[in-house]
Amino acid sequence: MTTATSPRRRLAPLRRFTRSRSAVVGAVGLLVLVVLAVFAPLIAPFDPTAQDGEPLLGPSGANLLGTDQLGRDILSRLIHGARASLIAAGGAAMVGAGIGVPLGLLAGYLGRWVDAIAMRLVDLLLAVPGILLALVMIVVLGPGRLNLVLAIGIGAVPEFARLTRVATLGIRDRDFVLAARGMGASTADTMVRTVLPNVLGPIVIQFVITASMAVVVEAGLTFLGLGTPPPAPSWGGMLQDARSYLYQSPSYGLFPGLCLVLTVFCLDRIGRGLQLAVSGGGQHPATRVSIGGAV
Amino acid sequence: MTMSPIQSRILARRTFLRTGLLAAGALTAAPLLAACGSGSGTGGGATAGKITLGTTKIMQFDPYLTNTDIHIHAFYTYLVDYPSDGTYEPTPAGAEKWEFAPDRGSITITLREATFHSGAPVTAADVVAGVKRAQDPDAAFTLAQPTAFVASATAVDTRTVRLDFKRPTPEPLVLDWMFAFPLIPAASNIPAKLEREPAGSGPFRLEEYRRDQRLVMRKNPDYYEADKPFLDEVEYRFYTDEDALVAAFESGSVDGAAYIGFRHADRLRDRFTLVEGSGRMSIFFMNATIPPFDNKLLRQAVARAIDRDRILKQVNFGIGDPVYTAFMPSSPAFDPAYLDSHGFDLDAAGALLEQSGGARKAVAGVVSGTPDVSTLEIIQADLKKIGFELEIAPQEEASYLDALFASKLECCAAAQPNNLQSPSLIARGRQMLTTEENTTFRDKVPPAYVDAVAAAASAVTPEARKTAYAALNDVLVDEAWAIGISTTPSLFALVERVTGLVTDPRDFVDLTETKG
Repeated sequence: MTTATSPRRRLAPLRRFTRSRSAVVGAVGLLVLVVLAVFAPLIAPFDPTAQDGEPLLGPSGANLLGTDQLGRDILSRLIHGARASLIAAGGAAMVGAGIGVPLGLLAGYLGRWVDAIAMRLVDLLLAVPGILLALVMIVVLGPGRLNLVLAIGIGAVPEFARLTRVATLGIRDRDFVLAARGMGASTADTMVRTVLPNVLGPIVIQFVITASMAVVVEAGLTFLGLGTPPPAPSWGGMLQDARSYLYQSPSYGLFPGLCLVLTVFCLDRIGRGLQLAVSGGGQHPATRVSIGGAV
Repeated sequence: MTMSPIQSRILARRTFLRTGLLAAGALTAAPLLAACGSGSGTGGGATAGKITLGTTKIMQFDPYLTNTDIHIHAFYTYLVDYPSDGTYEPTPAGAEKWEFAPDRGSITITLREATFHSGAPVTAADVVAGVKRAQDPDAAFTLAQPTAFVASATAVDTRTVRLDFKRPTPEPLVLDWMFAFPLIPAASNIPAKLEREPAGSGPFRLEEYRRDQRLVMRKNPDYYEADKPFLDEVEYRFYTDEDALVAAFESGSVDGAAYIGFRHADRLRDRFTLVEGSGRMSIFFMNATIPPFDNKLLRQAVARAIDRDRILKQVNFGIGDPVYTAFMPSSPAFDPAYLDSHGFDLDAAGALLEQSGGARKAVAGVVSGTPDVSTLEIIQADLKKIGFELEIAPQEEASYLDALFASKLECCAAAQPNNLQSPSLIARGRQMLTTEENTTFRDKVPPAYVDAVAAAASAVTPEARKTAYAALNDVLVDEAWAIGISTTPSLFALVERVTGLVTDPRDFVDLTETKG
C-alpha cells in the first residue's frame, strides 16, 4: 500500500543526491558514457573494426588516440567499447536484481521453509567465488555478450536476495503492512505493492554497486579472452591486446584502462550519492520509506 | 638519569619505531643487496658450468608421445643428429655407421659403444624393442607414422640391427626416422615408466624433478662425446605465466627464458641475446567433414584471402617466413612459386567464393589470449571484404583441444611440426593423417592425397622424389584444407654469458654445446 506524499517530500532524496558534488559528477560522467554508447556509430570517427590504418600509430590528428596492432582507430574502439561495458553493467545488474529481489522478497515475507530453501540456494551460490562462477558459466555456455551478462548477473543474485530479505524482514510486521493485509490484500499484492516499494532504497544502491562490479568483471573476462568475442571492441579486450605492445605503444593500454577507471568511479560516486539520498542522514536504508512512494 | 613514566613511554615508542624502521629497512635492503651481489648477471645463484632456464611448458619424459617437450634432447641420444642450420646433413650419434641395401629395401645400423644413464650398455635389442613400440600408434603417437615404412627390426648382433622396409624407401625418410628415434633400454621403454623418469643415454641425467616447480639435470659423465656437454648442471624453473617468466628473467632470477612470445623480442633485444629456434609452422585448417568447409571451392576461396605478409608483420613482429602449406622453407618440397600463384589475392578469393555457391559464414575456434586470435582477426577482416563472415570463438585451451580432436571446429589456426627432409612426414599431424583418424576428413580423406603421400614416401631416386613432391604440392593446394601461414620460430632470451644454445630441426633444445 502506498500513500500520497507532498511533492517537496518526494523530491527530498533528489535534493540530497544533488547536494553531493561527486555524485553529480558521477551522474554526468555516466550520462556522457551512455550518450557515447548509444550514439557510437555517429560519434566515432571510424568503423571500430576497420583495419585501415598503419599499426601502432601514436596519437595524431588523423587518429586522436592512435591505432592498435591491426591498424584500427583506438578512439573509435573505445567509444564502441563503452557499449560492451554498459550492456554488461546494466544487464548483469538487471539479471541479478530480477532473480535476487523476488527470491529475497519471498524468503523475507513468507519465512519458514520458503526462507530456508531460498537461503540455502543463495548459500550455494555464495560458496563459489563470483569470478569463478562466471568463468565456469562462460566455458559451459560459450563466449558472447548474452552469456557474459547471464554469468555476471547470476553471480550477483545472492547479494540482491540477502539484501531484499533483510529489508523485508525489517518491515513485514510494520503497521502499514499489517494494515494492507487487514484490508484484504492478497499475499502477492502485499509483497509487490506494499513491501517492495518500501525496500527499494537499498536495492537501487545495490543495483549501482553491481553495475560497477559488472564493468570490471566484464573487462576481466574479456581480458582473459572469455568475454566479448573479437572483433567487437571491449575495453578489457583492448587491455589484453595492449599488454603485448606496451613496449611499442605505451599509450595504447592507457586509454582503455582510464575508461574503466572513470566508469567505475562514476558508478561508485552515484552509489554513494544514492546512499546519502536514501538514508537521509544516517538511518539504515532499509528502515526508510522514501523511494518509490512513502507511507 | 631517571625518567618519568611518560618519558619512558615516549622512549619506548621511539625505540619501537626505530627498531621497526631498521627491521623494515633490512628486509627491503636484503634482496637488493643480494641482487647487487650477484653482479655479473649470472642469475639463479649460478656457479660456473651451471645455467638456469625458465619455461612455461609442462614436461614429461616419453619421447614417443611428445613433439613439444623442450628438454627431451638432453636425456636421449638419437640414432643420428642433424645440424641446427636446416641442412639435414646426418652426423653419427647413437648409430656409429649405417649402410643402405642397394635396393633401398633395408638398412643395417651399427650402434656406437655407449651406455645408458643406468650404466647398462646400449644394445641392438633395445632398438628392436623401440621399433616394436613405435609401430603401435596407441603407444607411440609421435613416432607411429614416421615408422610406417618399417616392416621389421632384427638384432644381428649386440651392436648391429637391421631394419627391413615394406618397400624400397628413400634415404631421406629413413634418415629422418633415425633422427627422431631415441635409444631407450628395452625394459624401461614403457609409457608408464617414461612418463615420470627419463631412461636415455643423452648428455644429461635427471637429478631432480618437481612437477610444475623445477627440473635439474646433471652432466652425464659417460656421454659418448667425452668432452661434452660443457655444462655441469642445467636447471629448468617452471612459470605458469609467460609474463612472470620474462619478468623473472629480466630481474636476473634465471639465465634464460625459453620459448617466449614474439611480443617480448623488441624489448629484450638490446639487453640480452635472442636466439631463434627452428620452430614450427602456423597453419589455417578448414574442417571438410562439416559445412561450410565441406565445399572445396569455398576452402580454395578462403585460402586466397590469407594475407601472410600482414600476419608476419603485425602478429609475428616480423619474425618468420611465409609458407603456403605445411612445408618449411628448408623442406625439399617447399616451392616458393606457390606463394605467388596461390598467395593472397582478394579478387581471386571473391571469384572463387562466388563459384562455390556455398555458405557465407563460418566459426573459427581459437585458444583465448593467444596470438592466433590476432591472426584470425586479420583473416576475418579480409574475408569480410569479399562478403564472408568469419566469427571468432575464443575458448579455454582444454575445450578447444577437445573440439579440435573431435572434428567439431569448423576452422582454426594451429601449429604443425617441421617435416624435416621428408615431405611424406606431413601426414603425421592429426589434421594431415591419411587414415580415418584424420580430424579434418575422417573417412573422406582425398584419395589423391593418400596416393601423393605414399608416392613421396616411396620415391627412391632424386627424379622420382621431385615428381612426387610436385604431385603432393598440387593435391595440397587443390584440396586446400591446410593453408600455410608462416613459420613460427621459437624464441629464447639469454643472458650474455650463455652461448651455444640451439634447437634441432624439431625445435627441441640442444644443450650439448651450451656454455654458461
